[in-house]
Amino acid sequence: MAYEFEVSAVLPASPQAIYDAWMSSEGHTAMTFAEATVDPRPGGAFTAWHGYITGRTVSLEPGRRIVQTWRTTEFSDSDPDSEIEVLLEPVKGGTRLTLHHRNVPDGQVGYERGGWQESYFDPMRDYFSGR
Amino acid sequence: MAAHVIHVEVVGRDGAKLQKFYSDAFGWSLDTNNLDGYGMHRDESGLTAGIGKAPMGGDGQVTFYVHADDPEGTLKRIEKLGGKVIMPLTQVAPETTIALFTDPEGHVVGLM
Repeated sequence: MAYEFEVSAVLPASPQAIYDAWMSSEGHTAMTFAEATVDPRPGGAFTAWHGYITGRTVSLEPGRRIVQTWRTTEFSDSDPDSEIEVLLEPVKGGTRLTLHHRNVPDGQVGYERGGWQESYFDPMRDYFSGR
Repeated sequence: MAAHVIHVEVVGRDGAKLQKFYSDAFGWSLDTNNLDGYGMHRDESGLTAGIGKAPMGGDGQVTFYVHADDPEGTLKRIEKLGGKVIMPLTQVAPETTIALFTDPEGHVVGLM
């Protein structure tokens, strides 16, 4: 059984700045401090975290919403892709990024239990605050 | 030169704990001055072992990396033989490009 969860963080940047970084090779690499490649078009492929994560962009609403298929090298061949939906909302102090992660293979709980925080939100906070 | 094993790797939830375990178990000296504190040990034969933390809080894996002179051609051959590329050739350090594939039974193996 696959499962889904939601995580969120407030980041010190505008929604558009976060959107632009997420959807570019240079920006995604810089904000995660790990090699990434992003074809920014709907349907385009991306890799992140030195190829540990791969997927395709499903739909885009510039500055507001990103939907992508998402899998890691720890997915088994029989696991279908999971899906992430990134929602960006302006709030005091920057942007609230809410991430819905759906169809995650059962047992792969690390993404929910700190994985997004450690590999995305913490480095993004450092990057956007200029640290 | 025939393809040969060049690197072995253990990555998991707690990289520091794994590094201490392997250092204490085998007396390995690990250079952790790498991205994310990835610890590298090089033995007398030149084989390297890498111990570290898996991205995204993942469980990680134990795997070995094979050096091939023609990695793109090797990956094509692997797919013809029933393997599957799960991570395309990716530059992870200035002079290091790796890929990951699964063999027909799903074991994860690296190409470097």
